[in-house]
Amino acid sequence: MKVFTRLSVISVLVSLLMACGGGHGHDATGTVQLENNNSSLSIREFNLSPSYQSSWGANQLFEPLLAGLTFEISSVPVGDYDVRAHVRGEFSNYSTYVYDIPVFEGDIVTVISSDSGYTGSVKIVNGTIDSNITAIYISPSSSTTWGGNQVEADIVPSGSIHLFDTDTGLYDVRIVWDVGSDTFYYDKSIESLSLLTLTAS
Amino acid sequence: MKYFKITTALISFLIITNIVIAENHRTRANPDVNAEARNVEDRVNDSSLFISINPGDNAVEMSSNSKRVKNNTVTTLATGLVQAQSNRKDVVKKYNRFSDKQGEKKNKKNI
Repeated sequence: MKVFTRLSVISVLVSLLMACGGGHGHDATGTVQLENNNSSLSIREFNLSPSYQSSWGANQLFEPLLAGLTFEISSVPVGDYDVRAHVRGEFSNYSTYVYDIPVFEGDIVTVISSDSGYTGSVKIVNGTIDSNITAIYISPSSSTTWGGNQVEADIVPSGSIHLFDTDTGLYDVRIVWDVGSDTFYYDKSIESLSLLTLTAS
Repeated sequence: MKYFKITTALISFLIITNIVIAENHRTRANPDVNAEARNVEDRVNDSSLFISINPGDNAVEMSSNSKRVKNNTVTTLATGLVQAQSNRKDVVKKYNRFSDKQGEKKNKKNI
């Protein structure tokens, strides 16, 4: 009788453990597909990061994803995710983003990267022979403020700063020199997959 | 003698004015260079030239708008990006995303 009671207690405990999630057999997952609808560039890096995370995490690709192809990650735990794809062009590097994608159990979620969705880049060259650029402000034309300084150290004559990962649109640029008045550019278009070069003097 | 003094004063004035102007003047390295240039990556505009898979109902289009700042990983650096360093002549750097809470007010009307 004692043995029977012990066995009963053990089986109840095991049942309770299983009911509390002790079994590992069935985590709810979905699938995320990345489609490279970009016409010419290969995706070098693909990050799939839970929305609550502060880091993009590791590159999910084993090799560059060629244009027109799709890459799939299965067994993605359900939840909300942020996605970033990154390409390296001839002139600069560009990224495309999407945030808070819900992945439900059994779902296949497709994220599409296309030419128009990528960031652009801007390069500013010091076109003088005797003056340093001490600060650069690049702010959307629609904004009423200049935002933060993009320069961490003076840019010397014929030197340059190449800024990538800029959202596309119209921008105002203000260049501050160690000599003379500031240089302004207004309504300069930063476009997807392109590098805008401004030679300031 | 009177004219000599006036001429001397005039010449001195012009020299000093030129020095002051020169101090606030920047010299262009190459006056003939085009101040603005755009390099566009090679793109195939004809979509029929590459295979596109029907994305289905759950498809989401990606965009250039990075609304959330996340840390880069080591693998990002390995793809060829160079972090900003001081004392470098040509710096490659990620654009600091614009924040309306920073910086001076624009005053376009005065320009």
